Amino acid sequence: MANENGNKRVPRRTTGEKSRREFLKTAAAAAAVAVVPLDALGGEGPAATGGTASFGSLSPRMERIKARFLNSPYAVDIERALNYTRAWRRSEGLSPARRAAEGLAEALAHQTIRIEDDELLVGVKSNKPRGNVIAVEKGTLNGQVAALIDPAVDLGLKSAASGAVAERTRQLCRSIPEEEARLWREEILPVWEGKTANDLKRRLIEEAGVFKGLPDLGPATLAKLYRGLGGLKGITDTLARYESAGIVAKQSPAGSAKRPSGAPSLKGSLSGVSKAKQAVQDSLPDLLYMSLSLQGHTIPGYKRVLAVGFRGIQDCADKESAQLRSDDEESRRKKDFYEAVSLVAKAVCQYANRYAVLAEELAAKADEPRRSELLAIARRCRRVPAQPPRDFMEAIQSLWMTQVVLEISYGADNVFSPGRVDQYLAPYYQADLAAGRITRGQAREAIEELMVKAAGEVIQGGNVFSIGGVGRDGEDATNEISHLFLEALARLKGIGDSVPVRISQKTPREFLLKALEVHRVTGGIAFYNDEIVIRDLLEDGFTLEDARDYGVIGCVEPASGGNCFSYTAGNGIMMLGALELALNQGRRVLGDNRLMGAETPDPVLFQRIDEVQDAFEKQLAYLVEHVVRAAELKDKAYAEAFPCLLLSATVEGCLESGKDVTQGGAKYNHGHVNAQALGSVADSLAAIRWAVFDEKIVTMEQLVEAVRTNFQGRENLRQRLFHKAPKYGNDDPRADDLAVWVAETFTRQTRKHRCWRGGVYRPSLFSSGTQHIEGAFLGATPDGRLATEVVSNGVSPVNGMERTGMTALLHSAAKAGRALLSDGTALNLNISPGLLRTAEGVEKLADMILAYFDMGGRHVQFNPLDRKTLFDAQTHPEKYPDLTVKVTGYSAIFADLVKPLQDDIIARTEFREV
Amino acid sequence: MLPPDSAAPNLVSHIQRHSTEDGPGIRTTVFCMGCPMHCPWCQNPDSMSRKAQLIWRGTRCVGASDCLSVCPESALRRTPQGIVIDRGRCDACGDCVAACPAAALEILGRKMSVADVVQEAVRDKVFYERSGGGVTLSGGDPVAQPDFCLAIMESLKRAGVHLALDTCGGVSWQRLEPLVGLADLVLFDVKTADEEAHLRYTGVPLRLVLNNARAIARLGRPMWIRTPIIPDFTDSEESIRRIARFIRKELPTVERYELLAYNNLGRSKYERLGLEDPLADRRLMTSETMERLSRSASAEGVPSVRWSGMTRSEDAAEIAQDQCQGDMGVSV
Repeated sequence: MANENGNKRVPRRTTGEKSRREFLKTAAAAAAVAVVPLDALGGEGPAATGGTASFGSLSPRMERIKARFLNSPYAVDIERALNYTRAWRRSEGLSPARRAAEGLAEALAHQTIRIEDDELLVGVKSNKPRGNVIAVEKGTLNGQVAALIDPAVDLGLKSAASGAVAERTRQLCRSIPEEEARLWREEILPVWEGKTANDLKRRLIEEAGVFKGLPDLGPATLAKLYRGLGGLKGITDTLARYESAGIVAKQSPAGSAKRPSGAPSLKGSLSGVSKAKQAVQDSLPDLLYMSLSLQGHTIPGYKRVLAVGFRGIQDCADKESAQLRSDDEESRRKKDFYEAVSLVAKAVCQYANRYAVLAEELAAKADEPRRSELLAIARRCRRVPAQPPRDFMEAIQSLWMTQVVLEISYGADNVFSPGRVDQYLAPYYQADLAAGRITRGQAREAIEELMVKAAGEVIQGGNVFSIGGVGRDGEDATNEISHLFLEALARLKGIGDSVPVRISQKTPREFLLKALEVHRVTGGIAFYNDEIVIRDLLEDGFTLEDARDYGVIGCVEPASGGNCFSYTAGNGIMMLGALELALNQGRRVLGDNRLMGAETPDPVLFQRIDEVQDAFEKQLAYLVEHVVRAAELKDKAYAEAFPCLLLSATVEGCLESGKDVTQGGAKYNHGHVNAQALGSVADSLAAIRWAVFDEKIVTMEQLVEAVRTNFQGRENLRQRLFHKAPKYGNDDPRADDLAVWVAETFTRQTRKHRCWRGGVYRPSLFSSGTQHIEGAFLGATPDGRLATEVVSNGVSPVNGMERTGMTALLHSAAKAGRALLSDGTALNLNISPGLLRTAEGVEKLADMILAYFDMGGRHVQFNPLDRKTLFDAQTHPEKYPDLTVKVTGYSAIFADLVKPLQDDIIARTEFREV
Repeated sequence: MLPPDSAAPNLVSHIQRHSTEDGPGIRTTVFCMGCPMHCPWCQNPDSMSRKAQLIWRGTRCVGASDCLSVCPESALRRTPQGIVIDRGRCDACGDCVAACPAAALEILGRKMSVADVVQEAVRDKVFYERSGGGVTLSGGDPVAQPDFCLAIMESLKRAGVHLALDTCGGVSWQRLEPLVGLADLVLFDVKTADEEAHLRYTGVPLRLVLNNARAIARLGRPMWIRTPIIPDFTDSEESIRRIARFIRKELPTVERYELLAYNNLGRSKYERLGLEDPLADRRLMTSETMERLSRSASAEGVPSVRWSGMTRSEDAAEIAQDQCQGDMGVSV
């Protein structure tokens, strides 16, 4: 297909007569099937598409694999934690690199492996089908596990601690039998208390005094947070009950401020409830700025693994190590690193070999044709990822096994995105096709299997497969594999996967149209503008070739693949919080009266909007500076004691420099700071300017007072601000110029910081399903938003405020997105399926995206679902086991989302045909 | 019929950006006030007359009552059913609209200058260029404000914008011709082939409409003929076949024949305007009927027949949608 379409490029339509006639001719041709049915929302109706692709359905084999995935409960894996801990106790006194390598080698040697019926692609992280591997040495999830296994903690608190919906939490609990719970309690968790990366980070941060005080996590605040996290009713009562029963100590703000969490004094004194609370607290050391203890969020060096295999990596490490003869500290450190890399590379080869042995054992007992399939699996696992693949199936097996071992190495709270899979895989596919070794359908089915397996990983939708865009030479690199990924996604009809689609001026129009046709069947696709993203990455210091070779990480974060450790998520600020601080002299409305930000003037004295902006910028700068300091200390903790050898083995620069990724060994290194709520902040500033300084409806004093008191007794004022003030998202300069200013200010304040590993701090504006959490902690805002209500997501307007149609919204978003937000932006739109019903509708939406990109838009993604369907899915989740939606940056199964997030998605304006 | 274009202010009901159903590509549609016909199935009752009108949205009202005290004509009354507008008194001055904190009151019919309209209509030029779209003048019917529309079209033409004229053709050729002359495409309504029914429902003789269609074709203007399929009014197969034959024989410039299924999105507009919806009890068409009618038209040799609009299975959902959108302030 790409061959047929390879020469066609996205045409820039003109209004000239000739092109108009051509257009009308095309339109007429598209309508050759005279009738356009309206009921065919499924998208498979032949007439609906005017002769465009029909994606077909899964083979029975793939149907079974998909069903098995969807029916597998969420689970907690214990084996990795147990084995790692055992090796850790044994290796006391050795270097951190050596200990990490021993731990991983032990885990890979003993982790239970399985080969399921029907599978052609093998590799599992855990003996439990959907098991989450806990990197116990990092400690980021230890509190959650402690809460899950403690009978004193009820389901509501467990859900809050694990951040999951009740049903998923129930599954997690059920996955831990009593014997495993005992092992966690006695053999694993106590060993790590006070010694994890998380603990070290907290100590460093507290010693440096980065935080002015931990937030008040008393019952009221917690109840708010839990409500925000899980939509859990009655949680306040539960907490009150614990409180009166003495399970939860009543905390004074001062007490909690001083509490050195994670420090030895807490040891043994924590009840399960406190542990659940601490799990939450670990994730949110401060509410306005946070640096979660995870790193990751990167594209590993799959390219290197495919090129030389882990055996090649091991050889390289051994050679480098052998060349280091001198005994200076630097050489010793390098030698230590190379030896550790060699150890893990060898462990990976042996791990894959175990699958070969298992497949042969199973083959001995199997009938044809399964016997042959198992023997082929065995052959592949003996070859890859130890050595370079020789064909397509070996390449995809190598890719998947590499993913599996990286996940085992790094744990469940991490995101390794595969990057440009279509570029990695195409050469093998073309060679096989030419040699008659594979059919198009077989390749597509292998991709389907890869996508199902990837959806079972970590954060759903985090393992995004980037396709399309230009190659390193700047020419279009869309290929047959890019098309196969789209087809596979459509045939799977969504399982939570995300597929970023790169669009350049050279992208074949057919590819863009096909990506939109997939929207008739499922969501999950996001569109990226190569021109803008590549511009961004050049500014970040990537070479032109590496910038062109970007893939998307996690939600929406672009970075070059396999050569970069600029982990793209985990550090964030609450941007609407900065506005709240600016209107309260550095204090929070819902908090106590402590100074939480910078000291800025009494807002009552503000005479002009730029004085409000000044105060906002000071608060924003304060939050960014603090999260950067916290992030630097977190990175120091990792660099000091928790190297990531397996990732370093694959990433360009580390073997070359003899340095781990955590120590700045990669070719490219950056930091990042994330924020959201651009719409809420811009609308709030616009409302202040409109109401106080332009229309003079209220004084600054009155407005600030109304906001502080949640508009009590001022409902008319709130209505006026909500309905009549200018709103971002309508191509209205009265709000858009402020959105542009906010985006640029955040960018300026972030990019001025440099990361000690090298590179700048890259700003991003997207939400990771956190818009309800930021909302839950903030008071009312001048745009008419009430206290604790959700904030706007990413660079999207406030829900329901985009009243002038999609084109106007895209104008606004393109203006705001022009800032150098190189870590990514997310614009989420709900569209009526009716817009995609006809071939003509698809063409129009394609042109909409291209025009948005002409204006400088960076990213856009659509949920092609009407409100009725979403309501129905909320009420009857069982009817929609695989309904995939774009939450914010990432995709997820709708039924897996907490209710506040479901509500947020439903409340987005639905753009329809008019 | 239609009063002559007078010194009355230029009134635009609203300007719809991202129009997907009013011609090729992504378009902006300018809905002008006033129409020479008075079809009972009208989807845009707000723009039937050339008079600005006040509407009240109950879903938004917060009961602030500021509107009552500011009205200079005492035209508003608060009742248990909500705000009631005395349309005999209200002269749509807009004082209450300004006073309402919740944007529950709204004037349909903005006074706009040609420059205002053009400025708004060229904003999406980047989208027109990508998609082969442009601006559609609709209404009501642009012929109700010919001088105004002519000036808008001239200005947009100079800006290189593709222009579609959406008209029912219910005026003299003399009045229609200048607008057609500037249009790149004419979206032309033929409601029914039954002469008696046409006159009865629209107030305009069919002959006038058909002659105008012939004249547009003679000028060589590309046309899309459109027939609203209204249950019991225009859904007879015989009527569709006759229109199709007319197109085949006499209108060589027709590029497309569109059958537009009746939708009930206008229902809430009637309510807000305090009018009775003459089709209030009407059900939607079924997709089977729409397909059958399309096949009939195709069978008469019209090359590109398509249908769009709502069909019965979606009825309940779409009504709910409409109400939601009312709440969200999205114009339908």
